[in-house]
Amino acid sequence: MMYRLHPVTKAIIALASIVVASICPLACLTAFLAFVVSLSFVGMEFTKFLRIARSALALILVLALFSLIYGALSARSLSIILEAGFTQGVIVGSMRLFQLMLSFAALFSTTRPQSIVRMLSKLGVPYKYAYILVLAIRYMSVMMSDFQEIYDIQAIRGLRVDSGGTLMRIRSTLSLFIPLIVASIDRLNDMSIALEVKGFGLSKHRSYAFTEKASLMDAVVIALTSLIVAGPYLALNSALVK
Amino acid sequence: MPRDLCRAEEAVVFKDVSFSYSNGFTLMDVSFTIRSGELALIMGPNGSGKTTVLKLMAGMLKPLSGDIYLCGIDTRRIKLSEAARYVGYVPQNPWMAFFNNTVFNEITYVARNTGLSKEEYEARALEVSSWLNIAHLLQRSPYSLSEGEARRVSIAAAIIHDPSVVLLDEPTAGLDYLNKIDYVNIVQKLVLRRGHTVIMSSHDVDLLTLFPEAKVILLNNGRLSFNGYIRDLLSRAHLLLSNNLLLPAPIALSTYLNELLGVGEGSGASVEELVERTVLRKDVIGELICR
Repeated sequence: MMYRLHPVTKAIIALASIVVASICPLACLTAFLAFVVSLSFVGMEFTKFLRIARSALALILVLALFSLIYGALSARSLSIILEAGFTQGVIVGSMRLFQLMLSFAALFSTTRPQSIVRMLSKLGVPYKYAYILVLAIRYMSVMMSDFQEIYDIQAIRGLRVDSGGTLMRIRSTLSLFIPLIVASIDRLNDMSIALEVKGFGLSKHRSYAFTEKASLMDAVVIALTSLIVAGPYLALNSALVK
Repeated sequence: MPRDLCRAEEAVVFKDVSFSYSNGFTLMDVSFTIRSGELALIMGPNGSGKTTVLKLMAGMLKPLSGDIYLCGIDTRRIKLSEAARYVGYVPQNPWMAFFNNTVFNEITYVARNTGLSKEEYEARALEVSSWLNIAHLLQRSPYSLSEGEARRVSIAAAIIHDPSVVLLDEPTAGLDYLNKIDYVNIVQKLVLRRGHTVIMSSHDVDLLTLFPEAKVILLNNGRLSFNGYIRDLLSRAHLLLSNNLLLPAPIALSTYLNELLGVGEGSGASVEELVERTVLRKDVIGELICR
């Protein structure tokens, strides 16, 4: 289902998650978290959902532990950890972070890069800049695989990154980053020529062979998202009016 | 000399090796051996697993199951930086390895890492660079070299510490015919004069006729299709075609001529008959040769 949602719908969920993480009260946060988790659970492959949730939870666990330790050190007392307010703060903070990470992961892992470009164009971002952004995201994996290859090549040449003095370590790091930068510049140069000869940026009014269409499902998801995020404020407003 | 470290009769042993990437490509139950001092070609079409096999040999990748022995040592039990003593690796793209300011520093990098003394690595750098005809490049930046020069420097950097096994990843990719012949001569000297075990991955079928004595490991889709010597492979040329590889040009030509003139084994045609048939079909043969 997540794959069939319009990219703008998924972007709205991601943007809503920023609002929820920043200003929403606990009830709204809990409702939005439940909504995003169920949407992701139902909408993407179970293994993918599990992988995303596991990585997010691992990071949050580290941060939560760090917060607990830092809190105890700042208060110079371990008993602060047992205080309800402090622990609740850490739990709520973790929930805010989790829904934020899950919403953005759902957007980027279930949307094709070309759809993201079209979505950004629809939102008014010039095509050139939207494409640069997506290219940068896609290029990360290329750079990672180049880095791994360079690391292997240097390791088989006897490189030891984890031993020797500071100067030796700096030199070892250079042996990895110089070829990586050179390879990246080469690749980017080739890519820019390839884009230019294909007429990239020739016209400001770009047409698309395929455009995503919003469906009833998108309307339902946007309505639910708006209701959860704006609900508490509407309720508060009507109570104040009465 | 590090080459003396490798006393095993078999330089590389693959025993029921399986491996898989997260993208789904799988290498299945691959077994073969390469003797010390032998020249071996890992051949196959694109995506058949040639580079994966080469990386497994070097210890860059670890097998999921099965065993790989490099100079008798299990590659699981050896650090990659330790494997440098036994292996010289020449990447397909030489610029993926270069980072030093001069060719001299680039060439001597492995020698310094493996603990050769200054006098020793300087002497070896001179010897190797004059052997590879790159002595005039020693003070140049590696980034100012031409493709052919960079490949020679890459070989020099891989053999300076005298490793037992030299691995070359797609060495002739992108080279013109003359540069390819030049490269082939270097490889032949590596095996015959210097006694290295040389293992190359390639999909260039011309190498089969340029290295007639070599061992061939033919892969297709992660599976071993042939493990033997070139003469045996060429006598079963259909194996190349069924593995999405073309026949080398001279073999293809002789096969066509045999069929055209009907002079295959056991045809019993005399020389006079052969000349007569050739004259009769000279137009077709001329066209074939031109093609």
